[in-house]
Amino acid sequence: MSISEILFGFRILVQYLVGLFSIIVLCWLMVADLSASVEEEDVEVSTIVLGKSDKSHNAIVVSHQEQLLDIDKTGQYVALSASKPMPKEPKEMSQEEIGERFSDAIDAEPEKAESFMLYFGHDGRTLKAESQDKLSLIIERIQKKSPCIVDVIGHTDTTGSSEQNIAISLKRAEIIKKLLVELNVDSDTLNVKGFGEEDLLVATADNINEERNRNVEIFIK
Amino acid sequence: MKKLLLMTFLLTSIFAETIGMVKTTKGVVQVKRNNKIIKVSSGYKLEKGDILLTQKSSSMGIIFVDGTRLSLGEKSIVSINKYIYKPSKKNYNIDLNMTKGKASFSSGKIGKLAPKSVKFKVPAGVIGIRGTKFFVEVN
Repeated sequence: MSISEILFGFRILVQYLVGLFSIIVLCWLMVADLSASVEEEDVEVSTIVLGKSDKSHNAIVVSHQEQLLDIDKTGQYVALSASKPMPKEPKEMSQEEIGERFSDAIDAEPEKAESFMLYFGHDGRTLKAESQDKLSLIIERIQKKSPCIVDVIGHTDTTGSSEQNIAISLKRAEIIKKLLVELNVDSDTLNVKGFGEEDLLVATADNINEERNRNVEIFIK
Repeated sequence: MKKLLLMTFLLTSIFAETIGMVKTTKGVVQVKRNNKIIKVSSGYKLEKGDILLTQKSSSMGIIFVDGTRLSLGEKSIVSINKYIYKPSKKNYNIDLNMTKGKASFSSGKIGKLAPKSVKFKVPAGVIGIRGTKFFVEVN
């Protein structure tokens, strides 16, 4: 074998290698291009996870392209994409992963709203002693939650007409508002509402003298 | 005269009603109202139609008047399309639309009294509630 033959063979080999290399690059670009388009398709993915709740009934129903999926166990999730049908079953996400993925939203969660009930005696004007004692705790909570919205909601029992009862429930709420303002709560944060016989705490028939329904609810948000 | 009074009443009832309040903020938090973007802080009163916006490394938490809570992580957008809480008329409605970001939602009195009147929309679907807390991520 002459030197020129060896050199020729070497040149062929180099050309072949260069050719092979360029093919590899092309393939890689195509793969990269493919994965880029896959990512684009996934841009509109929405992940919905059921969180822990202290409520007795904790469930959601997700609808997508006229299909429904019930999610009723903590940590179950579904990922939706505009271009694909909804998965038939929810998947599981661990509490750790939920905590990591949603950490900033979780840290920003406001405190839960609080409700307090104040009860009136049958004269309908004066608070019962244990309710009177609750006022200082209510004021403390309002100050702690400030800036906040506070509803002062009057309820009545079902004795008397419903018009009368709305007026009575409003009057009771006003009594409580006055008490709270006297104790230095800013009157602008207090919204007085009278629900009358609607939304009874204890459901009764009409004209029932029910002490537990003669109340004012303080709802602090 | 009657019509005028009714109109004034309707206008004030539509525009002035507070439906919730901003409770927590971190970083740059904004509300878009009537096509204006306002930087907001804790205590800001929300109205129907408001759009909640958080920038990078920012977050916010709000509470609605029925006790429903919603918080957003960074780079999130949620519009409050509808909100009605009128227990004396048994009239309830929550309609939220999230187009981007991360959120945590915990239902309040409306979720308990009328769960079917709560809708949380994401680009590819709608979440309905049955008395609940859930998380959402939209990419």
